[in-house]
Amino acid sequence: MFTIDEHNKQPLPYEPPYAYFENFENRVKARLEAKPVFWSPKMSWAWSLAVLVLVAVVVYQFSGSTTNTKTLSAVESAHLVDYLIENGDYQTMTLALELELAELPQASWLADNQLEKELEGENLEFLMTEL
Amino acid sequence: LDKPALRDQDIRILALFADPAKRDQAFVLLMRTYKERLYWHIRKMVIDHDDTDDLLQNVFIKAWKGLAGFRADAGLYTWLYRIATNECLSFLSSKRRRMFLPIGDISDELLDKLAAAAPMQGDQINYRLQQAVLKLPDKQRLVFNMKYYDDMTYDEIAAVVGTSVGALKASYHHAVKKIEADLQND
Repeated sequence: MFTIDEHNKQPLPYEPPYAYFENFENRVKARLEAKPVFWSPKMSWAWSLAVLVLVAVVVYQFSGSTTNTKTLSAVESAHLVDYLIENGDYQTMTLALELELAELPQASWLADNQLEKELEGENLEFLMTEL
Repeated sequence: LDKPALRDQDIRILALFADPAKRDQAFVLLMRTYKERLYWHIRKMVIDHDDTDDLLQNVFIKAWKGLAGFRADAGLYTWLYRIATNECLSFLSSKRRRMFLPIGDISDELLDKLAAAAPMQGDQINYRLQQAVLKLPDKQRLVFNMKYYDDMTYDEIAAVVGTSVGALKASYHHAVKKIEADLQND
């Protein structure tokens, strides 16, 4: 049976690597003199916070610029073009055909381009709900 | 160095540090005097050499930053042991947090580190003793290491961990019983 005997102690079963203690002082001094590291586990919280703030700013900026713009998917754009071809007047039809031919499915520019003018009083939102 | 010689060395280090032109010299002497003792103190707690190296460097960096405010009443030896002990306990608890482990449960990780650090020694009694020690709670392991391996008196351990001598004696006694029971079960 094994008993803990303080007069006959067991050695530890591991050792430091060969010559580990040589130049230890220089390694510590080098670390003290090193410039601050900008990415380390201890700094990661600060960087996470900075990224979070950046994302918040970007989201805020975009939310401001997109409030008056409706971005349509390719399918919605195709439906809108079809609707205009079938129901629009000549000018609208022409524009819609041009749009279709130009393969411009994204209609985010609808809010600020001449299509709105071409519709002349047609309720764009009404058209959108018709889709 | 034995303990009286260490105390003399402490006085020399502090005297050098008091002279701004000799602070570097004092710091080098401090590291030379304590690096091996503190290495083993930390290594016994975290087992892995690379972790030990990192923590040991942290201890000396903290010592360098705190040496100006050091009050000589505690003794450099005790003060450095205290910094090293706090580093070890913080390291182990942050490891637990990262691994989502319960408070006492890091022994599997340490046993793996032991197997990596000391391979092919599975039958040796010193290896089995270490395995049993690694199953103890951190603070009990700390007390056991300082008493059994480092030959520290209960008064010295009390100064490092800030616990009463009576509590330390009880802790060491429980640790010994657990280790012996663990080894007997094999």
